[in-house]
Amino acid sequence: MTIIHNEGQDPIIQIANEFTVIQVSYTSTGQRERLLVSSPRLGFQTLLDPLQLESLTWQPPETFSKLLDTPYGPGTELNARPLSALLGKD
Amino acid sequence: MLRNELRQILEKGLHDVEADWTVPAAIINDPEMHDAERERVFGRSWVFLAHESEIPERGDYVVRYISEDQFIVCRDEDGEVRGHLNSCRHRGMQVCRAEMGNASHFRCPYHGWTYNNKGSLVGVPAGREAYGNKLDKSLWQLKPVPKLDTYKGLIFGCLDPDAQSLDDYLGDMKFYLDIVLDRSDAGLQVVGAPQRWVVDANWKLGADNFIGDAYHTMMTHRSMVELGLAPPDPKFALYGEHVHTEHGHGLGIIGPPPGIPLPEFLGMPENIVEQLQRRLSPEQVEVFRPVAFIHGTVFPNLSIGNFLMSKDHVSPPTSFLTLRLWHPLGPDKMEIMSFFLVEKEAPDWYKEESYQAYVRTFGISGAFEQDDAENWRSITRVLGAQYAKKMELNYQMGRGVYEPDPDWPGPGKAFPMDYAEANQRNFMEYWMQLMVTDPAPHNKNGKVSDAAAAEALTRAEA
Repeated sequence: MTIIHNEGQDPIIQIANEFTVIQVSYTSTGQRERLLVSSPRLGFQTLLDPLQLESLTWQPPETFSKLLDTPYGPGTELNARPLSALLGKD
Repeated sequence: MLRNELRQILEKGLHDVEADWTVPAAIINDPEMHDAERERVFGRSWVFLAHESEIPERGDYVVRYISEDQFIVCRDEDGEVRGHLNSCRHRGMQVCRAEMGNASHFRCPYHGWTYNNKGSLVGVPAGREAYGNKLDKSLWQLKPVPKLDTYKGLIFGCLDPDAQSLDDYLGDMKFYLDIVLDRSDAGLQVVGAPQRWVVDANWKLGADNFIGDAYHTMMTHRSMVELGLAPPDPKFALYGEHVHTEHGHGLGIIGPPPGIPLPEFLGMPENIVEQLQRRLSPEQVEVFRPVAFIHGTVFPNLSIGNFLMSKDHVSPPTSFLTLRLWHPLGPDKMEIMSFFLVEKEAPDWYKEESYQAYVRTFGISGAFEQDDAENWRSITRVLGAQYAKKMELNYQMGRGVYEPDPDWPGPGKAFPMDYAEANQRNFMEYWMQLMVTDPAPHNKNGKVSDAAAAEALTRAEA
């Protein structure tokens, strides 16, 4: 674990293993308190409130395996387009 | 199939080890012999992978080896110990490149196939687009170790799915393993990561040294005697018992030299002594009470050292326990992995003293360790040459000197002193039996035919 001291703001906790790096920090805006969880490599982030965090505590390991069905993130709905579709067009 | 020349060497060796108590030098450093050994010895034996205390928490893993195959040995999210081939099912890339760590999932760095720590394939990048969601992930889990089992905290793996159980494989050796592994209620812990180093020597020399070679201490480790780090009687290793069991296992159990009082039970802390007297059988307690040194090998490449030694020339001796793995990297190269273990419930002062005694004697820079490695390097270099390969090595110690000890309370074949080479002959004989036994024939379904396997075994035994 690394603690990144974030000038003027709360520190960022960073944990990593062979496969990825993740950062967690605390954010508050007025009455809203959340944890900001972000993936600097993939560019995703999420703000989790206490109820969401609480719900994580009873998830079985399989839930997280399902979340990794798309290992690089959700992506978008794509239809394959052949290169040939671009050929011969100005 | 073995080449004819190799088969002749081994069959003559099997005859000679019984009739003349000699062993062919060619088994030490020969590339073809090594190739056959990978399949015939390491492909069939139960090989030590890790101690359970190395992966105490869910997600903990270490990467360990059976010959060249590497396995992720991990504790899954349900707490079960598992072993997975460290190879992605897509192109075979390692899915785990750290030697130890903690992970709920392993992700291949080539294309991103992702597996949970039960081994199931759970994620395939662009699975929808590239595979049309038609890839049946359940068919592409990480390959498990064909057989995986534990004994008193030791995790073993075996590449032969038809191998006998670990319990049967260890057999009578369990009586002696218990003395080392099962002395306390909370059990042992491996402290730190194992020390690892590569030596230009054949792995069998380490196994041979630990299984029965008390004789070398007088010469190889003489300087340790002069420094006060080993008993002053140069024949101290003579005063013991030399025991071997089936499947090539064996050990030496050395007591105090005459006139030199040593503490009972290796001088272990009182609370551990109290527990071991309760946990072990009366025969095991009787065997362990006068012990100063235990050295042994579980066939093929796991050795045990439980020694009473001083960390320096002024400190009183303290016992320590080390396991060491002689991992073959080729006919003339091995990686040594040295583990330090201590009872979880031992007092802190003992843990510290024990660790220091280990580090200074049998750790990577330990004095004893370096003495041994130099011999093994030299032997390997010499026996790799064409003329040297043709000689026989002398395993005749004790011939005409001793008979099996009728008073020994433990199982196995015991001899009444540790200057003997019966354990080494037993090890080499079993090794050569495995080498001459052809792999069991498979039927059309890829399954071993029982009749064919039995026939092959009978042929080998004949």
